[in-house]
Amino acid sequence: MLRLLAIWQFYKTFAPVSWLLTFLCVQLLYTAGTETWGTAILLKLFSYFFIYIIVRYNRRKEMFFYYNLHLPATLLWLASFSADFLFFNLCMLIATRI
Amino acid sequence: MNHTLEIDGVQLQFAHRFILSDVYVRCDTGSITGLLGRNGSGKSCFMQVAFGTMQAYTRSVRCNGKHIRRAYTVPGLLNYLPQFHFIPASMKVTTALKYYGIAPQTLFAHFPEYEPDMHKTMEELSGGQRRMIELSIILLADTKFSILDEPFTHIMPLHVESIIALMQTIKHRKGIIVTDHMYKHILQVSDTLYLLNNGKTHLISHPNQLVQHGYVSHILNE
Repeated sequence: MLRLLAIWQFYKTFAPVSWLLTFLCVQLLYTAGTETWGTAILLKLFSYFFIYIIVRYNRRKEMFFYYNLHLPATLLWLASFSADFLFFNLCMLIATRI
Repeated sequence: MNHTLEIDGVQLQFAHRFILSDVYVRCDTGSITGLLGRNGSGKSCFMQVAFGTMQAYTRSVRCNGKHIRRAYTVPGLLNYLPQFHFIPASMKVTTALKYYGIAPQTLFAHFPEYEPDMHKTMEELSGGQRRMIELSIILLADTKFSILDEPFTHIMPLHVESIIALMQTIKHRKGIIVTDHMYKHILQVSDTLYLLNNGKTHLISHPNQLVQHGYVSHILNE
């Protein structure tokens, strides 16, 4: 449970930016139609690259908080991005049904 | 149960310059291992290689003779206090303690003056207070070993004494590897002492050997 909370703690460092982009993609899909889904996914994946670079550079010291909880960086990134991508697709799916 | 942590065979180089080439450090449960060395001698690199967060060309980290690839990923094995603040600034002290499974009362037992600060975030504390909280968390957390990189930096003298007392108490259940430039504190607290010089570790059995190796010009006696 604490490991999950720690991953959530890590995810929170970039979640607002990621959610904002998800919201913009949903808006795009809602207004321009489902054919923009592919573009939105590409945009989202591209944003992950930048989030990774920025967080890795700016939160390098804080990573030791997670290392001391025996959580490797790979696990933190994979879990956070997977959860976020799932949330993104869920939002997109909901937008197509409205 | 007693445990032994051994680190050797570390080869680390930056820009064709060997930082670490011939090191051996051993730490047992119930003992404090001190590591001294000049600025840039590779103490922090060595600690991060031991912790598993820095890659080295070769290295061997063993616990009870068993080789470990990335020590920090092994639950309950060891933790590491870096030179910088590592707990997120927006995190409350109580939350940080909870993550590391430390009851606030355990911290108050050693440092009662921190009780009013428990609900503050790390950024609301002074640099010294923050360092003290982080150091206490590393020491009180349930691991077999703790690696401390300059634990006495930014700490006021009164608290240095408290930290030394805590280390002496904690060492009965874990092994501690510590480095700092305040060599007198390291001499005071260490059961085993190594000097890192030119990428090699030298076992120091008498403080005068620090003079012979050129680490200090003379030993101050108080």
